[in-house]
Amino acid sequence: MHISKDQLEAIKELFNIGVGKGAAVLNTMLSSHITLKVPFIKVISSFDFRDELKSFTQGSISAVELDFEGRISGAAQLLFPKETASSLVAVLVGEGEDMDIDALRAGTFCEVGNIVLNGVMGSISNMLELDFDYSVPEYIETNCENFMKNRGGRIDSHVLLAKTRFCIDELHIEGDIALFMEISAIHKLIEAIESQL
Amino acid sequence: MTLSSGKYNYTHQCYKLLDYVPIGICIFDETFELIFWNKCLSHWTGIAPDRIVGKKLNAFFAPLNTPSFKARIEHIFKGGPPSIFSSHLHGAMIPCKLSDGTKMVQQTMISSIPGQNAGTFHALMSIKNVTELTQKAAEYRILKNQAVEEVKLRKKIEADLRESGKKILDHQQKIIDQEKLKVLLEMAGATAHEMNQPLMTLLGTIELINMTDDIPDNISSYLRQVEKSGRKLAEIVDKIQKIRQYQTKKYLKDISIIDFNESSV
Repeated sequence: MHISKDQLEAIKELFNIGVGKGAAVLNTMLSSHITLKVPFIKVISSFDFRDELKSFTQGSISAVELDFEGRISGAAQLLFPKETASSLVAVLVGEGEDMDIDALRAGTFCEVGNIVLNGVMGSISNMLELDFDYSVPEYIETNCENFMKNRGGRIDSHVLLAKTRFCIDELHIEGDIALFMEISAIHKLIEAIESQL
Repeated sequence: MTLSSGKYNYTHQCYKLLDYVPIGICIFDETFELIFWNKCLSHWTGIAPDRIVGKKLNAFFAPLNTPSFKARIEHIFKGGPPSIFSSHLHGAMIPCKLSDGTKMVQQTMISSIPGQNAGTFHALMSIKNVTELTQKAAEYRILKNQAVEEVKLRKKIEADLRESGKKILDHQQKIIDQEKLKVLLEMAGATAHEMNQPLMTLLGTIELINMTDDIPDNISSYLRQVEKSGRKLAEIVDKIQKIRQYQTKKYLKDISIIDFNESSV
């Protein structure tokens, strides 16, 4: 599917506003200073996304998922390699380098993901005047293969993938924000953007 | 307005099902006016619904008055996505004490639900008691750290044992080498001593024969060979006398013999 450079720039702007809001919330909550940036964004098929994930990590993936329904439906996810998610939580809770993610740490990671994804979805919802019904945010931990299997891998399913850079004090972490949508939903999103441009 | 009056009685009937779940649940509007307070929260806080419903929730619980909390939930009243408040990053939203007097650890989620009037939204706060889970996780971490320390200690002990074993083997080898050298020196000393006497007799006798006249030429030639071999034997005995270390050389396939040249100083 073709998306113009201007349209991609507009989507990137929406994401940057969203993650900026997320960072502001995180900074009021935590003692560590956090900056969040979206250096680039792209639209790829779910099959290409599988390869993208494999290059991202060979091990487990930790993700927070927020499903949404409305004029545009899909799922927003914040994804990290599990080790990176563990490091992030360890820094935030100040419990040292423990690589385990127990139920409580999953809750902490879920909250961080929830804040970032709320920022992004809030930005999309407010700027494009779209209303959504949201599900409860969920923590997912699995490997690349199962991750894609669980997503169903529909032929017309596409991913709006935003590389997200977390800078927390001396820790530089990269994760992904992925919006899983069908082609028709991405078209509707672009229509909504065009109507606001 | 009391709980039994029309508005709250109606909402209580709507949400009555939530009285039967083991999770603390309450519902409030944008002004923090409490619409519903389930039995679980009643039990945890000791505050009956008729004492709190219809009143401002944040007047009862200070954590709900912080600007950061309010900022996190303002989108809820516009139908925005749920907000999670994890136990690691937040204290209890509705502070409660357990039967043993300790503070309850809570994990809270606030979701948007449609209000009674079209286009309005209320906040549904659900609170999970994660005190036991927190204690179990802390205990697990202590046990895990102990196990990791024990594995480290065990590995160190194994390495030390390997090192000690190697030292013992080296020491044993040294003792064996010293014993071999001792036996060699005793053997060499005895051999040299025992061979020197007849060798001197042999060489002296050859010298006496050489001084005799009229020795036939062929006998003289044999005698030179005997003398040469005798002197060679004297050199070997001299080397045996000078042996100070144990050096061997390959002789046959699996057999080694003492190397006189390398062993003598």
